[in-house]
Amino acid sequence: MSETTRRTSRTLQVLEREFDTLFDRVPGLYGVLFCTADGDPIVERFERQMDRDRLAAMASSLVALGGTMARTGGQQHCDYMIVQSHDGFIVSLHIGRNLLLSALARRDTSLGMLLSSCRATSESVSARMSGAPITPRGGQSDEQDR
Amino acid sequence: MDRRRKFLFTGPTGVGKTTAIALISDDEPVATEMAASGELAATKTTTTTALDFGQVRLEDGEVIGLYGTPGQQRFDYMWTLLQERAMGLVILIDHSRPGSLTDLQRYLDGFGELIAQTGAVIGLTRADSEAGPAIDAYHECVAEYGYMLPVIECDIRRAEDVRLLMEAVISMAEPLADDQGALPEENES
Ligand SMILES: Nc1nc2c(ncn2[C@@H]2O[C@H](COP(=O)(O)OP(=O)(O)OP(=O)(O)O)[C@@H](O)[C@H]2O)c(=O)[nH]1
Ligand SMILES: [Mg+2]
Repeated sequence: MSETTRRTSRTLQVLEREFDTLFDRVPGLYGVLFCTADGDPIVERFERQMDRDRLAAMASSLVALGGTMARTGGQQHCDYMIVQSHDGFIVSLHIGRNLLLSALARRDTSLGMLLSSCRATSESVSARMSGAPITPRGGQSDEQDR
Repeated sequence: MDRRRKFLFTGPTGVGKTTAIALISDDEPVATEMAASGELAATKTTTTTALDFGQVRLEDGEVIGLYGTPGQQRFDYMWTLLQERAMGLVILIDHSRPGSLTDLQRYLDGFGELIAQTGAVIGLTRADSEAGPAIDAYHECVAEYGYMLPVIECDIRRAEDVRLLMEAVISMAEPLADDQGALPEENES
């Protein structure tokens, strides 16, 4: 973990606290990953072996493309990127400007429950992290620069 | 249904791929910028995490697509996706960056298949920097791979320099063959 990203123990604490809540709330959840907006993994809880580095990078690509696609389609915010596959769901979303949350769940999970729980986690982390930037220049705006 | 030739810009983070495509694109470019983190955030507020896309209408009326890759290696799956059907490659290298020759090797390796098919143009940015190796070293590096590729010094913030790179890569590319670029279900008209 790079020093300059200042992943303070407080940041990690805030994020790790969310794991229990999310896993309790969402039956079928098997992975939660926090990463930087540009796809560097920070902390995760996986119930099976997965490549966290690639998942973090891909979450960043998808959320960025989702935002671009929304704007191109005349829409303002991309709230979630949802991958629905034969076996389940992968949801990725912004937490403020600098963080992303990804959640992986089995197909028998309620998508509505998964989305609302991710939203609640995002709001909870945002509320607790204000004033604890994850990057040296961290801000908390919700929009991309371009 | 028109078919479009596709050209790809790659190179390390911060070299200017997004800048270059935005400069010469005729339409509003598509960018996928996300807040930069870690050491990168000290030099740059955002970084590309999926792709850049722009379109340029050439003098003869042909419209080409320009695609940019993310620079950071962790997005190398995008490199693989974006290489598909590309007709040429511009590798931008920041001459002032320590390890600029290693950078070049990384992209010669990462885009080897495409380069073997189409060749590539190497755009050397910040070429007036005293920090980098002699320009010949880039030619030698390329020669070690068995390639002969042009190395062009450029200021990526100048549209005419970017167009020069684009023209160089177009001049190396094949015209679109009849079976390329067509949609799978398209009938030849
Ligand atoms: N001072 C100076 N700045 C330059 C020069 N060439 C490029 N830049 C700047 O470098 C930055 C390049 O940023 P981007 O275009 O986002 O770089 P990129 O290659 O797309 O980076 P990633 O998306 O992170 O891979 C821009 O702010 C340019 O203005 C140069 O010769 N001198
Ligand atoms: Mg870029």
